[in-house]
Amino acid sequence: MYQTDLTVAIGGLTLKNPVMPASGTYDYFDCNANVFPMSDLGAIVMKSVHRYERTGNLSPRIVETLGGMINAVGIPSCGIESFMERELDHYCQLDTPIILSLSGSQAEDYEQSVQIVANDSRLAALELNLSCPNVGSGLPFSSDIALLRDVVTRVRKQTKLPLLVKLTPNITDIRVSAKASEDAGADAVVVSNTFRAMKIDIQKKRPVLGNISGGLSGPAIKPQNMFLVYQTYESIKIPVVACGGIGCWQDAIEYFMAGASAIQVGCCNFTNPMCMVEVIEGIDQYLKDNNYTSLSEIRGLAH
Amino acid sequence: MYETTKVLSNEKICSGVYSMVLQTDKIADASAPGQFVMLKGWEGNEPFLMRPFSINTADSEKGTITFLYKVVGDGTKKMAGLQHGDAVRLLGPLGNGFPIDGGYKYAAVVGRGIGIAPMRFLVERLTAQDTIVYAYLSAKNEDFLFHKELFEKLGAVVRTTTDPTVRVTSFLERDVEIIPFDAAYSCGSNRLAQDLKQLHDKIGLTAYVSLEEHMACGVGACKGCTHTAYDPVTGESFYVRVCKEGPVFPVERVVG
Repeated sequence: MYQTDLTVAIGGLTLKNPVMPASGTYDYFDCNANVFPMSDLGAIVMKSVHRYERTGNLSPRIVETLGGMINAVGIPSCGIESFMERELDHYCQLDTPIILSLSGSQAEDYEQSVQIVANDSRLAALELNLSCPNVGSGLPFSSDIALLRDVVTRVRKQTKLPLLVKLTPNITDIRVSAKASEDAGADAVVVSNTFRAMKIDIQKKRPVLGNISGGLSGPAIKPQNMFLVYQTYESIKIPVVACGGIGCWQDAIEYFMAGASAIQVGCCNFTNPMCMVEVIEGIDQYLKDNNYTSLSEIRGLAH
Repeated sequence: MYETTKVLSNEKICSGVYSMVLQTDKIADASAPGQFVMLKGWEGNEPFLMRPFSINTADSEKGTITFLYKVVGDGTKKMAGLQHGDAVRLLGPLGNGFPIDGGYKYAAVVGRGIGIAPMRFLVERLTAQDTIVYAYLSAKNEDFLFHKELFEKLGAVVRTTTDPTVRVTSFLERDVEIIPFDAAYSCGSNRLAQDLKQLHDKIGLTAYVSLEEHMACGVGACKGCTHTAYDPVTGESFYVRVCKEGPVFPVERVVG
């Protein structure tokens, strides 16, 4: 299928290639562009499912900015029980691992969600979204180290599924939150989520977004996030999944050289619906053209 | 469907308004009135997102799709510079179009300015099935009364106003007393939608409105383009995605 070995191991999970969607940018079957088979992806990560039903934030929820967009969608969700009963089965015919992203407003939410999920064999792994800037006070869990450690520790006890912890970039030192996640039992960290941001309408003299602030994503944040991945790679032994501004295979290669094991494509799925498959093909071709036989050979090369 | 299409023509119609015709493989054939596409006619990240455009008309035999657009921001500015042979990427057709019943005898189409754009495809389809169309068009001046002549040529009764003190829906209010409209349609204007909602409440007029909203994905994934909707029975409000559940809605569902 590929010219080189693109497999990646995360926890006990092996992905056939390192490319997956960032949570919230690629959703249920009838809500995708459907321009390639989902089984082409290394894994599917669906929109974070909250512990309880939520409607999400007030409109407007998105605004375009230079080289990216700010979103304040606020995780509309049917709640974890309903998701497990009604939605999850839709994904089961797919020939690719399913990673369930979980959201909560407090530590107990995550603990309860994972109790409900338990070790459900339909799932390949769990991603704890501890970094959404648009839920609750807007202070992400992973910016409070004690809280981060508490959530991951509690969740770890509830499941044997591989656990990815999605960290916030809105923090002084990402190495601290990455290390705390590793110590509490995470199998990988996702670096990172959106950067808190806002836009003001100078005619209306008001914030554009209904939620006032949101999270910036897109190529605009890639250089900042690249450094976070680079730092994280040096501070922990578990894999780093890079997420931030990937729009082409060159971006992915750059992240692998910074130390990423796998990558997530976010809002560039919107600007180019073929982005993820083009990234997979581009990584494979780059490796072959540069006489590498496997992806693991370029991981962390920039260090 | 995701296609790289070619610009056949991109002509200025009047001040700041252009009509662009693209050659497609499959999208034109699959398109229905009221549907939209996500469009990107430039390389790179400026502007970043694809843009939603309503389909002005589509010709399945020739494989062409036409957009009538007004230059308002960075995306439409780039589009205005496109020339014959340039590549434009399209994702679509997307969303739910205007419901059309083959048995409709009379239909009313209401549009203001650039909001008339998607009405062309609708009027073409309605008149082709021998529905008698009344078109109510308003604009700031004659230049922006798009498709007035075309609608007349297609056999529609066209009523227009360029007077800011006259609501074009006042003509419709008068006509509903003598014409049993099966359905009425509008696009883009909150004021027109409000007026259709009043007629719906007063006389039970079946009315559909097409909503506009900023979009990122156009396919329902990002949940960015929400609009408040109402349960007609309980009156309860909730969010709908304009791209996925819409962009066309029964007026009573989205106008409070």
